[in-house]
Amino acid sequence: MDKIKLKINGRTKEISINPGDILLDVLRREGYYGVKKGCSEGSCGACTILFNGRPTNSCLLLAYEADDSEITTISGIGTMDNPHPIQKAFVKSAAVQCGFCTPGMIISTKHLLDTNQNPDEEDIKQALDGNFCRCTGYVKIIDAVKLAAEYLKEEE
Amino acid sequence: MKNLESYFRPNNIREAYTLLNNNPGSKILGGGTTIVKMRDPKVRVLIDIKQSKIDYIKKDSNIIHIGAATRIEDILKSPVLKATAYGIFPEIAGAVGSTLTRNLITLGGNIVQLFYWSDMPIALLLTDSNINIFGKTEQSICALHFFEKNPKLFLSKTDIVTEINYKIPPAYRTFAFTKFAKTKFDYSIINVGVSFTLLDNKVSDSRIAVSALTRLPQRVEIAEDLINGKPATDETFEKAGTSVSSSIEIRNDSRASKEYRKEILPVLVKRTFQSALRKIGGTN
Repeated sequence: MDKIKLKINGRTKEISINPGDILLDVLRREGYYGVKKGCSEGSCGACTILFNGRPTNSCLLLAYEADDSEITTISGIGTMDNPHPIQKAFVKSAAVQCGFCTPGMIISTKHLLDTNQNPDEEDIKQALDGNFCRCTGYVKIIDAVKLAAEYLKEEE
Repeated sequence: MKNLESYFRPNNIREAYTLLNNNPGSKILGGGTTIVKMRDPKVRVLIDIKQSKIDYIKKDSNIIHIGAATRIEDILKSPVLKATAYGIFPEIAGAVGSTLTRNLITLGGNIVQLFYWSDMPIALLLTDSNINIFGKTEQSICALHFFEKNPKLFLSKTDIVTEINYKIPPAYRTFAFTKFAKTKFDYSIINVGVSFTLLDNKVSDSRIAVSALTRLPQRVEIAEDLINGKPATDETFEKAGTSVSSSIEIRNDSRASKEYRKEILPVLVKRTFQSALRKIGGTN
């Protein structure tokens, strides 16, 4: 067993890992159940996290690679008592059906709106192009991202 | 990766090379979208080069230098690369995977872990890029020769691709690329890239590169020679398409048949040339 030291949602943690552990599995083992296991091959985006500020698939990262890194999962974005404006926008826009893709969608949205406060529809589609949804058909999700952008502008 | 025993994160390429030398059977880890995705049980030692200081995009007088560990997403967004060669590197980078995987995939990984559908080799072939390799000796190979064989067959176990560089082409040289796939995210069925200079409304010094429908990414020099000196018209572009289609060995696979690819390839070649011509304000 080895140890990795990293920040998850702002908190420094030391985690024991086996050399071949995949980061997604380690995060879920540590209780971060909002990071979903979908395809395990980087196709569906359900496991999306912010890894050193970049939205990416945690199923394609070794736990070793996360040593000395900063990770944000969906539970670091907002809480039930204090949801993030993006989460509010997703609920308001009815962009959530089964909810399985939603954490990944929100992480990708967070990164988009942190870097582009006025995304057009093409920007939104590109930012979310690695996050698949089998339920909604994406229209409401795109609406949610646009609404989230408005909410965030109002907050400023 | 159940049999992985050791993971190293060297700070520079010399250190990476020493580790590769001292650990027979070890493999380089770039973005991990192949090695980690495949959970290869044969891999016991990984050398992660993402922090070995080969992650950069630089302009140095008239040469562009891209470190091999540069993420494809950074290539897509780079203002330096958008401003040269009609942004062909970012244009092709945008065709690679998704935002999420582009934040992992490295340029070096995309050209060494070569798959039929790999997109970035087209950018290297169109810009006559050089690929720098650090190993027992340091060497630089031009893209045309680099892709003559699968790199895994001629790179030694301790060779590390460190940089891709190209001479900035003049502003009057145009570039365009077309990826044909079932969806934006899917692996390519046909990749076509073209570049040329327009002189007196004639095509000059053309490059035509294809991948995904051939065993390896390649230029089609027969077609290039055919159209050099010819007017930049649809008729010329159609001849290019026909020549490309008849000059290359086209693959059959689960994504598309050889017959289908052969049928649509000339159309895609023509459209790519038309796109390149529009970029320099030409009309046909």
